[in-house]
Amino acid sequence: MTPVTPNKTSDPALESALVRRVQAGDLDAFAPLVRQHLPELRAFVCLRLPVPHLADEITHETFVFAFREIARFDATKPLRPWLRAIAWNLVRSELLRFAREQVNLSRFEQAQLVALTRDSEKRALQDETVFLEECLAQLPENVRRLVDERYRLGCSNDELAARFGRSAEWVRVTLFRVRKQLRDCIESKLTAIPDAV
Amino acid sequence: MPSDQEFADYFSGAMPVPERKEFEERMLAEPVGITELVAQRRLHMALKALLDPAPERIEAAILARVRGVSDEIALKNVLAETTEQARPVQAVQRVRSAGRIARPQSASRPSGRWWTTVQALSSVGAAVAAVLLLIFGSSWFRQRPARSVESGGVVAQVRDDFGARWGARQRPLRWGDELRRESLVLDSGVVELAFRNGATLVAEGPARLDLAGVGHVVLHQGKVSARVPASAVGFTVDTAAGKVVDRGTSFGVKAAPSGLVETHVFEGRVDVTPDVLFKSAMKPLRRDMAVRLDPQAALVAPIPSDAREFPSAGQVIAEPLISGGFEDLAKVGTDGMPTTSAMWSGDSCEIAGRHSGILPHAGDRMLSFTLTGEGPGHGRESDVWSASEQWQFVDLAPYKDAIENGVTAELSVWFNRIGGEQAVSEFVVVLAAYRGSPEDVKNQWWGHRPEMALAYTQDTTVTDEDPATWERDEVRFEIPAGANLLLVSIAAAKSNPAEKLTGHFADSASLRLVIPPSAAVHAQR
Repeated sequence: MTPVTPNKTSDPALESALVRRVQAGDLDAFAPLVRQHLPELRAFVCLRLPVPHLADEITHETFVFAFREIARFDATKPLRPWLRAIAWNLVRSELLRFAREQVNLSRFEQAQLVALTRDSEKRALQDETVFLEECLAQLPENVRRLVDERYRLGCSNDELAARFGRSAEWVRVTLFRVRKQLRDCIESKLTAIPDAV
Repeated sequence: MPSDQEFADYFSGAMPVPERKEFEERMLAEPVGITELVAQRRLHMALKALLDPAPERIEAAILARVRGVSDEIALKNVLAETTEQARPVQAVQRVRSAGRIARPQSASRPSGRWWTTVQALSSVGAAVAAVLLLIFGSSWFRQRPARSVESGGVVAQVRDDFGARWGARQRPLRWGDELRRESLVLDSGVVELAFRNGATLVAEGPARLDLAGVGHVVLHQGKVSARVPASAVGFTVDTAAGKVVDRGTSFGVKAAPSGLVETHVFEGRVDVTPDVLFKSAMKPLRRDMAVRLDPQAALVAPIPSDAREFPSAGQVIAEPLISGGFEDLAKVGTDGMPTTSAMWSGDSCEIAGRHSGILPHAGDRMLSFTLTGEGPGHGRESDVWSASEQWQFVDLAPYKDAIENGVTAELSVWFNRIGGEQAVSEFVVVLAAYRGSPEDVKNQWWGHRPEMALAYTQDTTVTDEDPATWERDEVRFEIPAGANLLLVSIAAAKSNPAEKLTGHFADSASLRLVIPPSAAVHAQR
């Protein structure tokens, strides 16, 4: 079975060399950096702003911004926290823009906005995707396979029901509960960090 | 609190519509439930992003953009080292007049932060929309008589207009209107005329001119610029002070109320023949040459040529509709609105060749509407129609930077139907711009399509009963900054639901993304 957790091997020396090449004007060196960090960065944004097109757009803009500003980046440091910080700033800008532009926010929307912002502020520099991967690895084998086939292979609920010999209802409810379980797992890891910033 | 089963059914879209509505109403009173749904959505998206085995699409888009940024940075570096630095970088950004001059991008901010200008959609609003799906009915058909497509006597067509205000006695013209030998009075704004011989004339108001023929204009007052292809050499602009005859070129002519007339050549050659009172021979002008005719002084004087004093033509940057002529299709999707861009899908329709004595408008194939079923307005007996609709989403991501500076989307479709029907038949075209994904529009915003759109326009046309003629309908709008998606809809509808929708056709659907014509940059001297 293909492992659920993506290959995270990252060679700091190689990354540093690639950054230096980009800083020297080598555009081709940017592609492997994008490839390396794209899935985690997208997931990071999705956890804060679960709106598909905005998540993709902010991910996109994060890399473009990073490219523009890469001359200022210290190549001896890991790239991922820097990308995360850029992405978070873009997410926050988007949330604040929304708050500014909406004159007639309903109470519920206000509450959601505040919750999203507060939640995101608290976790701004926390890479929850690391926790998500850890939590995925802790899932029982058959559940991991279900998640893998749903999200990596893109199987529909009906296809999964056929593959697992269960009903579509079982697939839907199980996936729902798995996501709930993953959320609880991430929350517990976050709360274990004192005063997560 | 709903059960896991209910949550799971709702979240996966398996819950039937009536139950969804009831569920949503319950959710409004249970913030904890909504929080659960938002959390589910976060995890769902994060898992998709993390485990997506093929993020090449996003990766390719990022790298393409980065290449553009790289070129831009390189160009700026070159400019910084030359005396050209202070001049506008027209190669990078189109500089527009009419109060919409593109601002240079700051190096310290990410370029193209187009989401910051979104007006109608919002990030959290969209997230909330995911859990607050309230379905509103919407009867969005509106009727307007079909425009004539009679070609006899037509000398030109209004290709585009930008802020055009027509004179009080002038019939108001709009994009797509056809022009015969007639006088035009343009109070303000810019219009672009496409002549049948291929020439293009852009006029800036205030202007008065007569269309004297396919290759002949009389300019009484105002500024025009012309681009004349080889097929239209000899294109003539008459003025009170003389005649300007094209010899294969682009040029501008300016006629002031005082009688002064200027001719500026931008490319190629024109011949300027002053009126007899000047007692001057014909003046051949080449590129970057200009001449002023002063009737009061009977003087013909050379002056510096300056293209910026004249309006410029619009520019078609893309025609992104896929299979608008239906030529390369064996069938269209019939599973409702598509969830991806670049494909037709919708109600029951077929690709047809010659059918019921009707020939395709162009090529060998056309779209045949075939559905019988209730259409828009269902729920009110008086409004029950049979209707059939096809949709196509267009991804605007490749045109993002251009859209920031102003791009107009123009949709036109040709329609035809068989005669002898009892019920009223009409065709509808809709163009809408969204910030979202096709799935959002289809699954989340179905009942709110007009309201959720950043821009939305539609038009209804009632065709004649002559199968030999096709009628065109068109809509357009300026694409709002922030839009990343266009929705094109073409539909046929019939006022009697008992009658089948057969013998109704569409063809030659065209969507153009156009940088509109623009006014002169310099004030009139």
